[in-house]
Amino acid sequence: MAVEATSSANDIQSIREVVQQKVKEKLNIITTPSSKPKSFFGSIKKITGLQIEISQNNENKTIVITEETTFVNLKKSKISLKELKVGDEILAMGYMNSQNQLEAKRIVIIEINKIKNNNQIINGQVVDVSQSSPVFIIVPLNNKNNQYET
Amino acid sequence: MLKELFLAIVLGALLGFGITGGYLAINKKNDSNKNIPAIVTPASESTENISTQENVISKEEGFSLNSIEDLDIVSKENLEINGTTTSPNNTIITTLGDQIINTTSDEGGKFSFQIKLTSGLNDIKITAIDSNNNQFEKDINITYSTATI
Repeated sequence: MAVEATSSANDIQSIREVVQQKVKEKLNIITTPSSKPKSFFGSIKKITGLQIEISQNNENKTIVITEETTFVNLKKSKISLKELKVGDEILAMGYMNSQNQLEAKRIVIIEINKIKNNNQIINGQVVDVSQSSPVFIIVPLNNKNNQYET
Repeated sequence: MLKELFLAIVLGALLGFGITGGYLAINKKNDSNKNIPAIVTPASESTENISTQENVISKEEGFSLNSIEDLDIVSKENLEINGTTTSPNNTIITTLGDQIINTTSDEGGKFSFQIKLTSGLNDIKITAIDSNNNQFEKDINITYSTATI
């Protein structure tokens, strides 16, 4: 009976150790900043010291400026942080830190409306073809209440 | 004495019924006001180009991308995109600027294709259509830069 109790205690201890190790590994993953470069893009909402807050797809993101951060304008000329202003649209490249902020290495002023992909894919049936102009009407297979003219 | 008692009972009953009747009448009037149907505007059939948001059953389901994530930065102009659809033999259509790339996923749902990026930010739209004509879409923003990051 005593031997069984001891082996059971050993099993519990080894399971505990395995669980602790797994938790430690997971915590490490969560708290260690990613080594893969990432980008943020959007319209500047606020510049406070060495932090820039942007609106990216209606979500607020924070970009941290460091000594290594370079800034480039639309004409591909180097500029400084002082030349950025609220409303400018920027693309920031760098690495994420543990607070989910981007530590930027490079910030480029861009024009988002020129980059935005407005293409649409419609899977449907042609219901009408114009005889006088290159226009036809498609009704999507999944939503017959709508129709598209192209 | 009896006469007064009888009178009191009758008057009391009249008063009680009167108050109750009035209360019920007021309530009935309020209920009939609530029964006015709301004006419903039928969905309009528009011939203009409208966003396909309502056609997309789910943006998150349908397929996954294996080799790339939104907001990634790459240093090569030609990007290979690999993914897996949740059902086999889906039609995959990808657009970026003027580029339109068509491919299909195989029996195991796997697909792969290459796309040419422009310098800077690239807004890539990937659409998968399955055999039941369900449509799934993902938008990924990939930065192509040769600068040292």
